[in-house]
Amino acid sequence: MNKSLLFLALLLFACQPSLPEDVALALANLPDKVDYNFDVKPILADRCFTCHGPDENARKADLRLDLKAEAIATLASDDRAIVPGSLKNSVLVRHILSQEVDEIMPPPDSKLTLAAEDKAILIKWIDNGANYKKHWSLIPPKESNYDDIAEQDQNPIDYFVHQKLKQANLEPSPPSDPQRLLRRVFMDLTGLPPDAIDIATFENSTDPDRFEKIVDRLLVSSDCAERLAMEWMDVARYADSHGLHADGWRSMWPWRDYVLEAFQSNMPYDQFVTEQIAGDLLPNPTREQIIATAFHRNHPMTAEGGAIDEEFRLEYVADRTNTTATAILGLTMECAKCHDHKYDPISQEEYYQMSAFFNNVKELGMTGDDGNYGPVMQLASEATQAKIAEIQSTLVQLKSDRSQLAESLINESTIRQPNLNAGLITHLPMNRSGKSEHGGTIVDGNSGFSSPAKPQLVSGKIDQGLMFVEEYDALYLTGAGRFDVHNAFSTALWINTSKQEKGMTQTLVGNAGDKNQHWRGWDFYLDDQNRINVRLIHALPDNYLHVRSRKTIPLDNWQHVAFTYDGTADAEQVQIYLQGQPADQEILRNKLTKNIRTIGAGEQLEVDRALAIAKSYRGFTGENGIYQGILDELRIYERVLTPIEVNLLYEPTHRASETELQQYALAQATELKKLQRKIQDLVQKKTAIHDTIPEIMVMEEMPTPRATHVLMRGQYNSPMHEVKAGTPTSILPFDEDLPRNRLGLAQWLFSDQNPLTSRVTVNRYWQMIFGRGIVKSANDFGVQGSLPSHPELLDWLSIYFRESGWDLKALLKLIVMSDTYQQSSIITEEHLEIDPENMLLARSPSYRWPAEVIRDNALAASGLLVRKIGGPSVRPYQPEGLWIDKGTFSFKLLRYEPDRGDSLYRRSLYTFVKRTSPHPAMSIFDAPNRDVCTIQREVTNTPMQALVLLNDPQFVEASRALAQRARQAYPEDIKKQISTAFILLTGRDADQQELETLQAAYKEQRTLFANDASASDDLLGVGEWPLDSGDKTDLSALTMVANTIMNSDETYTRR
Amino acid sequence: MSLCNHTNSFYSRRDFLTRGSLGLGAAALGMLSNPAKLLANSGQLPAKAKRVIYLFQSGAPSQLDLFDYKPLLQKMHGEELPPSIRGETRLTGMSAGQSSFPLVGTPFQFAKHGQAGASVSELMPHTAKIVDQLCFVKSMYTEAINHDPAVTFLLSGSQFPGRPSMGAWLSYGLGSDNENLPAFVVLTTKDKTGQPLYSRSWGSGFLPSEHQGAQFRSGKNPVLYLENPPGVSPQSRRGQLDRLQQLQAHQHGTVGDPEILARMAQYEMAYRMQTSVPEVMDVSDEPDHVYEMYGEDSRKPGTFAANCLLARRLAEKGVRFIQLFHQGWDQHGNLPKAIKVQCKETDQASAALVKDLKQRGMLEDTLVIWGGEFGRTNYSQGRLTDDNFGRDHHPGCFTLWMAGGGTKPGITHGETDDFGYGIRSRGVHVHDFQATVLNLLGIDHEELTYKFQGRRFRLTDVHGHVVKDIMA
Repeated sequence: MNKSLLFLALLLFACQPSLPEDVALALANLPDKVDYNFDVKPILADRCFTCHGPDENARKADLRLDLKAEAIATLASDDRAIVPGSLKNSVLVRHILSQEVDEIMPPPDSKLTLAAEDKAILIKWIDNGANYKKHWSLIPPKESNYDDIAEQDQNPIDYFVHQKLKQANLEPSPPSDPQRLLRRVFMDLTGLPPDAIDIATFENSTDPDRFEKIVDRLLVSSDCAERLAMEWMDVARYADSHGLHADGWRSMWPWRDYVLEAFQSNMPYDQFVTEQIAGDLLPNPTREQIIATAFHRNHPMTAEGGAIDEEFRLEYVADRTNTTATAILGLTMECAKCHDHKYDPISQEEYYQMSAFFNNVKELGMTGDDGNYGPVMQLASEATQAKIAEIQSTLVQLKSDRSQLAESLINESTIRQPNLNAGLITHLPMNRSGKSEHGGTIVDGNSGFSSPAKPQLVSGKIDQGLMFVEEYDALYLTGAGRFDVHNAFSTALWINTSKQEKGMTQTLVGNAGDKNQHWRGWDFYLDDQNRINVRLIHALPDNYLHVRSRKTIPLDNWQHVAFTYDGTADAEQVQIYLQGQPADQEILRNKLTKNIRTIGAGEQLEVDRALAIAKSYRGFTGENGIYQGILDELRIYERVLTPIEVNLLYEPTHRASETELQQYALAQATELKKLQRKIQDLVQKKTAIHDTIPEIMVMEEMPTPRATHVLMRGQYNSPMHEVKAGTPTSILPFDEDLPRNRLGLAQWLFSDQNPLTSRVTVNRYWQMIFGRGIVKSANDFGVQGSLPSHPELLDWLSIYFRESGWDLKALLKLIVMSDTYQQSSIITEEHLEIDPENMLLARSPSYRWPAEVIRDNALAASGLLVRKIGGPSVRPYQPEGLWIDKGTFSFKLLRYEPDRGDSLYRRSLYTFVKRTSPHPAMSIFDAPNRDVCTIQREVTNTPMQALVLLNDPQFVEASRALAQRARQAYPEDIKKQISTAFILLTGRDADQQELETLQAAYKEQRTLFANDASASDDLLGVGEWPLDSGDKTDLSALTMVANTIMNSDETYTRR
Repeated sequence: MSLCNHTNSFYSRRDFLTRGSLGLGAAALGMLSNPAKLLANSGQLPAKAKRVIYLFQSGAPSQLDLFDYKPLLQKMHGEELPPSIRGETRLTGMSAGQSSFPLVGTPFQFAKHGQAGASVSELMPHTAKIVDQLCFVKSMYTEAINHDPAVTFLLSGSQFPGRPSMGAWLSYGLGSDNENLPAFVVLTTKDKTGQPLYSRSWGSGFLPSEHQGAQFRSGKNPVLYLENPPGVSPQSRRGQLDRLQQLQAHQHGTVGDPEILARMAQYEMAYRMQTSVPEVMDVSDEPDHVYEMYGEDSRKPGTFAANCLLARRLAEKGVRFIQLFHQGWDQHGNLPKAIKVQCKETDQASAALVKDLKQRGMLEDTLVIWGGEFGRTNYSQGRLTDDNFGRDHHPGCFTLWMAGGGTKPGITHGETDDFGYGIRSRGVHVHDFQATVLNLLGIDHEELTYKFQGRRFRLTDVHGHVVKDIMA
């Protein structure tokens, strides 16, 4: 067969340049059939699709090779790239065999080449008819014939693995020895080693189900939940800092607690992911389901002054899109952000359809240096929630009482003339202006002012007014405008502006801060359409209230503007006035639950910020709220002005009607005032409670969806046409019955027809256990990714996983119960020769444990480990100065101060992650810095790793604690001390030779320390852990021995 | 951070060889401890530079007050930036909201220096003396408008985190010439404030972590975890390692994993580093005249000057890529005073480094680069007063200089317009700059690739043209 084909090929080429010898030879060595997905496409995708693939804009010669119809079509040159079954007529064949610089494919300037075997595969495939298939991972998993033919009670994993081994003439390895097996399953499922009792019990047990019983125990343990959470942290790019620029503090750990709890209860994986992608959109979401959505707020954020908000906001949207695609679908979707995907069937349009699911969050591109930014969820305890609910119900009652009382009083109030000076706390007629002795500005004789420049005194509405021309004219008045949520207040002034500029607001008066102060305070301003706006802000873009007039004010004309607020944290109780009359207004936001007292940057402590007039305190945003025009007669009251009063401010000669006077009189009624006071007091109380409640960043849909556009070359400022939310059709068309929101997306991900989700997930957990996925490129199931080593096994497992109700622990159990898992990891010459990479699993894999597991093992072995589950991140030992050396913008993360006590010994899952300066010992062992979703870690071997295990105080202290522990167990027996340390660290007994080596080490070290008492003191003084009272020289020597074991292979390697 | 060559990352090495299209057979694989070196030796490009010392000026120095002299700005001082010049360029949120954009002429004196007559301001007297060794690029431009994305773009080719840094690429591509020192060393000036540094600037991104830059810090523990724990003497450590090797050899005999041998080698390297790093950091053997050349600061560990001197020592020892980070150039306000301090800290030592390398015959194959992440505006950010002003970020043009390593000495490449706002000729995009640096090291920037998540990544993304004009 092979020979005849070779003959055929030679014949075909007989009258052309002959088939090169190497290609002919390769052709002869090919198996009978070449598969498009497994043999041909990897070559085409890697070497040809860049110019002849899905990306329309990059396509050369109008030739597309990823679709059969196009690949066999007649080209402009009248040639056909591929003529199925005809090598002679397929110009592709000529081009790949050519030696001519202008003919050879791939062209020399692509720096890509085809090996002889590659050419042979393409030739054979064309000769066989050039059959195309959909990419393997996009074909739904196939049911295999396992159930029909497998031996009774053979683990399916073994069935499929053994099949492949047979083909390669390899035998599976014998079962692992019990000690190694026990440690392996402990470490794989929990990331912690078995203790001495576990080991002894297991060894001595004659129960045939002893292993299964251990597995069952481990799978329900909190240690297992922590191990699974550790893996998920990389996927979810979890960190305790923002990551960009200042890289300041954020608090997302309650989400990590959610993950721990989910794994603890073995929440079905579909539910686990659905809650994280769309928990807020579930019917009547629970508090936990909303916390779960913090998953998609874990991305990095910037607070860099001057950043362009939209650019970064869209970057966050892109991050969610890319993370979802990588984590759940195993696709490199981000490749389609700037152009159609060059390899996978995902168009740029589809990329933006997918991103539309994540583009509907009321969030900011530029936030502040430290803190959580909206949308946030308040994490009140149940007791606190109850307290708030109680106050709330009282408030409702009191408000209803207030209305009733008002009605009953309406005809009983004594009519009085309004007193426009009552409650007037700031009044600036703006009639005089001058400089103080110290150069400061004095307005109306009030020296509480400062101004970088000096606004001009001009003719005003009433006498003089102040003219604001440039931004430095703004005025700052100390001691004015200091209000909190529960204070009633009103502001009124005359304005005359000639400015109206797109994207630019004009602040009239206010004290709201900048991004590093959460914009906290209040402001009264004109927007860029000159509508009148009032905001009371705790934190943008979440906790504030905002009311806006519907009408715009005319330019170059005196306008009287005012607003009143009654101190009840309710936008319904804000009234804007224009020209003395209540304005037609709308509420843009009515969610103010915390205080509005101004704070400073950095520590974010309360400061009495001067009231700004004619400019905002915002900076960094390109929009500083500069007012241009004249202002006059600013009045601030510490009470709600009634309509008649505002009208009188507008038109002092106004003759009040009976009704107006009655309204005024009513507002003065003592009973009503008392009741109002009570309401405000309760608001104050409620606010004070809210102020103590911590928050977490979560997802929240905006009521009016934001439009999503395709962005030219992915650029934020080049939007093209609008798209609606959707998913790539090549994976699975989006069911029209599904809601086009994140919840619909989650349902699509877990649809029975989705070919990827289950495969990708099964593969990820396979990777966690075996160190490598069945698909090696666990992060790429696309055309450029690796092919599965055991495709049928992957399909079987993914169907099993889905049909089990996405039962993760059942999957893990199935894996570890297999012989393949339980076989020995010992590497033979034959293994190295036939399968050095262990693709076929003739032995259990060996690899270095991840960073966290190495540290946790040392802590557990030494007895230092503190098994507290969940809670805020902790700060174990770390070399000094690493944080402050990098930056000083974040106040909260300026210096790394190690914790004391228990927090030094928590599992590494809880170690604080500051993205721009992650814990070095973790990074050295390849822990990612969580900038992006990571599915696969590198596994390197470097001298720095040796230095960590030898010198990092954490490991030195653990060595000493382990020595103390061993000595305590066997006070008089050095040999037993050593063997105890050995088994605690490695999970197995040291053999005779190892014991001899370590005993010799002990002797040598003891001699050295015996000669230098202060050296012992120094070594044993490392770390906080209390020193025991035994002999220091002995302990020093034993510490060095323990550290030597800690540095030996079996401690940090899966065997 | 990790150091030196490795013998472990089987997958990535294989990726590099078999997918990187170098055409090497798998047979070569097992023998390579440092495959990447092949790149330099594969004869694709002649390498002019063997190593790089990159004096990174974090925060972005004002080209208009240092090198790019614009008399027109002095003439029009205080006048508005003409809208025709500003055009549609985007401004940062820090100055975009200003109601006016007054032009600022530099308050500093400029003079022409050297045979080439290069303009240098009075703030850089030492640099002025070596201009004939320097190759100024006045037409640098970038795409990012803020520090974090701009630094990340310049040093990794992408504005957003996740890619390997320039030094990591070089470590990956060229390996180290000294197996006892890392290929990529980072030195930061201590006690500076200003724009933050990010470990990703010397991170390895998706490359194996051993290619991360190793930060050498001033003080007694220059590399993290390098020093033995207190009380552990050299003999104690040596004895421990000998016994450890015995254990490992035994383990290898039992489980047969070649990885154990690789790790044993790493332990020996770690041990050697414990000597080699303190040796190179110990500058006490430098003669007085060297300190005089680098300036008084060079006697104070952790200063920029001391780091320049260290950079030379590391270069002598064969470190491939040495990057200094000096913060504090971000003069949004108070520029006239603040820039003087910055220049005082950097000018003499930068010039001394070039002279020193020249005297030692090392300048030929050492590429020195001096510059920041973008330029600064020709208009004042904030209020322009008689004695004070600031300049905002300006991605449209900036100046950097290079010396040695195959660059043409004594030239100026590219030109900005009379307003110092746009580029008049021969613009050099960040990706062009990166391509050129790689080229000087003998690397075709399109060939130094790494396949990750289905795509071949490069330092230059999918762009970049080598600037041949600046090459000797």
